[in-house]
Amino acid sequence: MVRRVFINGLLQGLFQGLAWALLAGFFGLALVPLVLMILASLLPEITGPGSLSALFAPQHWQLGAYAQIFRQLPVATYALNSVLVSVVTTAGYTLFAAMAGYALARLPVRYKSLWFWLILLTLMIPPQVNIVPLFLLMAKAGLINSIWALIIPGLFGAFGVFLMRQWFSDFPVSLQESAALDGCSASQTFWKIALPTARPVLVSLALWIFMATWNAFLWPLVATHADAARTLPVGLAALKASFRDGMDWPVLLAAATITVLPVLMLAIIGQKAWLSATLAGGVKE
Amino acid sequence: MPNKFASKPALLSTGFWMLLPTLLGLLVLTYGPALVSLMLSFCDWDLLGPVQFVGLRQYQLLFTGSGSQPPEALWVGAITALFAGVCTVLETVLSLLLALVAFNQLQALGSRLGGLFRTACLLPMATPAIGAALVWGWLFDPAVGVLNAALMALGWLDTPVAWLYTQPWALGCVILLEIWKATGYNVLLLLAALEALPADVLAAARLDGAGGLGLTRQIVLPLLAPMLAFVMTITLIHTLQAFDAVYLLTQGGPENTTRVAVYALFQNAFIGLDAGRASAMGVLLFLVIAALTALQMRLSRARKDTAYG
Repeated sequence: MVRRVFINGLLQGLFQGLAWALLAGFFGLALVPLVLMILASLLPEITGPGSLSALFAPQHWQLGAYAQIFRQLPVATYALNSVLVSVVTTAGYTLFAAMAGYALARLPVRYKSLWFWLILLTLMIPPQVNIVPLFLLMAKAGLINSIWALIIPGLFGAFGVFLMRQWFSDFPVSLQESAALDGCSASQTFWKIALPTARPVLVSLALWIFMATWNAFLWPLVATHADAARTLPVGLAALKASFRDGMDWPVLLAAATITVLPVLMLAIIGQKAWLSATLAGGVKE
Repeated sequence: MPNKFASKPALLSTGFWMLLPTLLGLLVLTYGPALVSLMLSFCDWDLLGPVQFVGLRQYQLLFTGSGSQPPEALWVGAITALFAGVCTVLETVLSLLLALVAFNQLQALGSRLGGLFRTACLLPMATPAIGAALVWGWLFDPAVGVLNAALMALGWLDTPVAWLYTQPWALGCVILLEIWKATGYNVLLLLAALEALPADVLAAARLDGAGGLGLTRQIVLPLLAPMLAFVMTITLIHTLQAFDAVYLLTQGGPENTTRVAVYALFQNAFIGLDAGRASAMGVLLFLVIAALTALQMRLSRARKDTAYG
């Protein structure tokens, strides 16, 4: 009896230990590459396995790679483009999604189910399938190598419309009715009453779109060839491609740090809001 | 409020105007290009000269090999399926394991550690692909990479391996990067479903003497099944569309062993200047993704019909 209890306890302990080891392992694997990235960006050079020991020696850290990045690359232009594209796309996407979502949830619209399905079915078309025609369209419009080519295709999407529609279908009927009694038109009710109450979900959606736009790679790669319109990820890919014989890893990782840190900080600060949008949508970037 | 006895709303109602930007945007930027893609898939075009109608020849070419080369549709399809399949299975198993363990262990430990765990799930996913690819590209680097240094220090490796330039390691590296980036998201989805499980059912099962593994297998897993199916479907859809990691790490090589569908499409279109071939690949990819998305929508609805998850 005593022995059985002992063995059970041992097993339990073993399970506990395994569980904690698993969690710790996951934690380490998730964060170590990011920590190594930052540490390596502080080294003067990485010439062989030997220089890896310097990663953890603060006396070797310096900012030389960052200085070189700013000399070698129009980082400020890339960063400004990244910010402009992400901010304008986010603002437009959120606004259009809120308008369409409200109309679908709360307003009388003729052929509503037709419009609903028209929006829903776009989810079936993978965006990569459209890059050739979209490139032609943007070229016709003279927008290749302009940040507008990066902004316009990102302004509309079914995900946001459905998120907002879901939110607005819970908007109290009494508020809508009393606004109508006070003489508000349908659009005034939307702008002055419904939209302000939707702030939490608007913030979630905006964070989600901002990060997805900041991280976007394939379309900006196709639509820009000149530094003037490049965003950080695409500029960085061009930098990597420019090292023909041997990578200058500290420089590359410094550039990666500049690209990665803003979104990571945003992800940590806005963790709750961001999660609620992604969990509601179940849509990956 | 409108009801079915009210007169039909005018076509140009306020609601219609509010929908119009989205409708026009999607028409011009999604449906239009998709239609053009379909039409281009029946043509031969180098993006510069005149467009030539060739019927089904692009599809035919995709399914015919040349010399010792296998048909591109089959080769790329196989690589894409292998990549997506391995990623989906591994990510699902890993995230299920992690979510169950985290659900059991972190509950008792208050919210701070739980919050930290969630952050760890979130950060790889929030990392831009280029950042992730550069870090992992460095870790995999044959001369100065951490992986070779670590394995050689442990004595598991005598000479450095060029992981990204040797098959089958290259595909493994791309898979590893994808798993690193995406598993945390699945953990979060499953954790949310676990936290929404009806507490009284779990408590009743515990009273009946179910505990630990038995409880997990007989009660938790069946309740979790809809979310698990959903997670698998979106992971599959997501990985079938992989591009960034391949472009940044391996460029489809070595010997085309990492040539996944979207990379092949990109390469045919903008490097091979063969818009017809690229579009035909796009149409094939669309057929697969559309079927899976329809499945995802059904699962999504099933998920909402149940009270939990």
